[in-house]
Amino acid sequence: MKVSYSWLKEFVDIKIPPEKLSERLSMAGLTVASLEETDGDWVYDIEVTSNRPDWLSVRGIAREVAALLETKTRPMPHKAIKGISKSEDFSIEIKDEADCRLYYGALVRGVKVGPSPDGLRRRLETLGLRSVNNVVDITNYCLLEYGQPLHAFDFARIQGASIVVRRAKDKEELPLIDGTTKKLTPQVLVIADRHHALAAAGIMGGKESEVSGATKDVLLESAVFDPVVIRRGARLLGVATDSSYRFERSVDIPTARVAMERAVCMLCELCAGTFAAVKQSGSAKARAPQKISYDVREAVEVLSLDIKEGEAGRILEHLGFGVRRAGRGKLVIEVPGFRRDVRGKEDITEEIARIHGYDKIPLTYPSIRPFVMEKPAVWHLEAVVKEQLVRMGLKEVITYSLGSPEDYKRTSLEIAKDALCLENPLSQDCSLLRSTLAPSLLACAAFNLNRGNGDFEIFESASVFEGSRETASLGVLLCGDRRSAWGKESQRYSFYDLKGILQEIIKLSGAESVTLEDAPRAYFEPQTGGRFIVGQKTAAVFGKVAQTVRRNWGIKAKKDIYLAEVDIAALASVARFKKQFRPLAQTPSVFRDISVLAGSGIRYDRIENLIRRKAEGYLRRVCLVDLYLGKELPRASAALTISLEYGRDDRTLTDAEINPVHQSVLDGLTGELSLTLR
Amino acid sequence: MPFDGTHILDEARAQIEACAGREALDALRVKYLGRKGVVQELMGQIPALSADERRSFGAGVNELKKNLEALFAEKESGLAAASAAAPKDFVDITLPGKAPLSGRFHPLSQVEGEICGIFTRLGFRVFKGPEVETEFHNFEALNIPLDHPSRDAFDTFYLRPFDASRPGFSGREKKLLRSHTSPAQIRALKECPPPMAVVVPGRVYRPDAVDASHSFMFYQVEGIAVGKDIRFSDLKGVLIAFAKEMFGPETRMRFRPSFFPFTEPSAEVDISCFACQGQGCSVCKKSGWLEILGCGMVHPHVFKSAGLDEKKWRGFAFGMGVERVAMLKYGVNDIRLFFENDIRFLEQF
Repeated sequence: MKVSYSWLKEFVDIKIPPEKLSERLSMAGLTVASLEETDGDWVYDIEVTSNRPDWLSVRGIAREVAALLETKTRPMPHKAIKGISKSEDFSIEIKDEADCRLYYGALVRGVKVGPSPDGLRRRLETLGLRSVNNVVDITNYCLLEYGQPLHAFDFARIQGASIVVRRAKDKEELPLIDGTTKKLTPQVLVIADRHHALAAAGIMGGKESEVSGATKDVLLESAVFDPVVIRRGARLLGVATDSSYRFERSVDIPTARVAMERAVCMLCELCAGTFAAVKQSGSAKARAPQKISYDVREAVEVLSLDIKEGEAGRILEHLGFGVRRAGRGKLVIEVPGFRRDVRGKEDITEEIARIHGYDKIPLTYPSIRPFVMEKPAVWHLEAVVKEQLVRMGLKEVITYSLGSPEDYKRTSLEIAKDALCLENPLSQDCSLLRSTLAPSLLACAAFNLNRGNGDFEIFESASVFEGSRETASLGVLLCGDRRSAWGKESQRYSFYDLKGILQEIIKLSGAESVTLEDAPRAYFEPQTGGRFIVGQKTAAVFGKVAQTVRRNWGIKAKKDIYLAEVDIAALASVARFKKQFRPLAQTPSVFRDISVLAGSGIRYDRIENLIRRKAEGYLRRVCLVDLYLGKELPRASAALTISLEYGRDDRTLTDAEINPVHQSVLDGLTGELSLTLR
Repeated sequence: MPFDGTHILDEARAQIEACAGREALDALRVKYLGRKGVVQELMGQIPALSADERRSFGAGVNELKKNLEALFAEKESGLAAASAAAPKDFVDITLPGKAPLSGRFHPLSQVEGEICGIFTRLGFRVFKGPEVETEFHNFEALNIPLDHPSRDAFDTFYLRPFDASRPGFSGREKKLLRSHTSPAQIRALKECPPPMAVVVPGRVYRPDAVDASHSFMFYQVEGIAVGKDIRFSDLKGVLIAFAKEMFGPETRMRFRPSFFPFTEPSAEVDISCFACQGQGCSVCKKSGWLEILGCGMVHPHVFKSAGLDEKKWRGFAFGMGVERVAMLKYGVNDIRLFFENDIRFLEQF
């Protein structure tokens, strides 16, 4: 809402400079977005919040200025028109009063349409409005002054001299004054004559009945339309005007009459018109003012302000409220019709605080008592896992939760059957609510690789969605080398780095009885897909990203990519965050290494299981220390070096005791598993 | 005849000083102090002297021996020190150090964590709400009626099943992506009965076309504190405590009246620009102030929606955008950088 300093001064004595007024307005809730000096006047561009339609007029803002300056506004400079004419010159019919509660039509005859007088024209142009002609300018002037939209019809163009307020017929066409022609639906309210629509009610006038140089008689409309009907209609037509903006926020019933009277006076004065008749349809009357009993102690308590009944009452009176002092700090407040936002005592408290000044409210500290709130395991796990990943050197990424079906195709993924998508997407690229983090991480990897960032390790912790389930998920992606600052110590990321990270996460959760299974997936290279299962749920799926998927994502760099997705919610459901101390060994350990050729269908887990079984009771630890893939080895096999740590807590083991145990391990490997020792 | 060892000592000193290594020094030691060395030879001359000469000659030789020993000891420790200082392998302390591989939280996570951390220390607890919300929680429960202009500030993404043959959602259960974190106020009030104080961080969504300062997905942190005697002045106290910790102890704050359907009275809060200390600069567009959050006293409608007696409870609530704080704090000039995740960007924080 734009308003000028000079126009405001017509209604209220302002004894402070324009800049000072700007600051006072901003600090009272009328945020001045800009203050500009033009032609010796000052223009305020004020952001009006949706609860204050009364600020969408010069008069409304003047009322606020008066309250801030502790003074009163001057009355309106116009003559009242008494009563309603019984003229037979025209008729008004409202089909449904739910759509239009009140409609005034005022007929002014013999107007001379022409350019506006300088004063009127300049006033509008200062506020950025284009001057059209004297009649249209008067309606705009009154709209700005009162916040009541008005419309002037060329009376001769209203067939049958009858105004009908009705819903549009389906596919009814209406050429508007902006030059466009709209196809209407019954959702749109129109002003029509006997035959066809003349205007989109409350939104925009029609081309045919527009006031032009040939216009002699003008029918002036001042009405009260239903806010929701106008809002829906304007959205449907894709049109927003100063008029629809105000009707959406609802207009004041008595003002509809006053603004009409003011415009009629101006039409007579400035366009040489003659007032002929005014007719009314619709029965809306100004409501009896709402009464609120208010105890000033409320303001004292809520705001910690030492404010007295007298001052609170004065503030409210300046704002146009009726105030009756009922003694002992109690006020009975009458809310004026133009303040429909004020409904309860909290609203009164705000009015007092606003005008008194938020800056006068002191600073205190609340007594926030400790309180118990059960924290779901998943929130805890999410936090500790993120923390651990960062410690391990991974970078957190944040990607959009919205993607496209195309992302799934690129990743060789099916879209979940109960996936959700947007009804009103901005674009197809961001229309599908993701049920997996995999495509987002691949997109992120592709983006970085294409920008020349070749080596990285990233993760994202976010919700994924499927049907009514919203679950915490974690994606991990390793690409290229684990970088070293300089030198040749960079290490190529491998499948085992990714698996190690996942094992660390599972260890953090304390989940027990974790099993591992093959998980062939179209987006993994063959034989590289695995999944961890906890309590019958898949906790993680991981593997090496397939060549086809890399190609689909436009990844050309020769870098290996490993990808995992962890179901944090599933893991949290079996999490045990308890930590338990185990006494440290007091007797020495004996170490023996085994080198064995693995392959031909025997995988490491079987080797380790055999070792554990054969050496039960003597084994403290078994760990893989090296994996060798030499050209001299048979195809698809590897030499494993496994270190066994023997020891017992009750005695120190001698060679004599260990040798037979170790021998049985070796025998088992060569016998049961038919492996070759190296 | 008194013994004068000066020339022997001078000669020895010159030889010792010229000595480069331990071996050469040992050879010299044998030459002078060994069993057949210079000193022993002089000692051997003593018996041949008269009783008178013996004393002064002997004293002279002893003096010489002592001085020689001192020279050797000195040289020896010198050699030891030199050998300790000699490089064993190549080290150049001016070569760059090797930074360990270090992970990073996303800058938005860091700022979110910082915000939540401050409020946690003030007695708040962290609460989370779903991102897929219902029409009821996102709007009606928060006093934002259908078809009301107050909804204009909350353009919203609505959801439907991707598989068009499945039934959609309707009415109060109509599903949407939350357009603010405020619906979590209702959930928090239901799950932790007052007195309570929580902060709710999380993702929110609005159909805004993406540009340098807009994103259809962004982060907010919401806060709500409810008790029997919570006041507007407490809100001011808590927020200034937050701002001073977040933006520096010299931060000033200003509260401007505003409108949010779910708070009354409502305020918008500005902090003094930390780039220019309120003098006016490009960061604050010459105003000296930075708009940082919205807040107010919890509207009675919200208590009713959560099934609480609005006459019994009072509270305050606030909400802020994490990107806005992060952009100001780190000088990031384009919101899209946060969601591109260029590694070079992430490694800066």
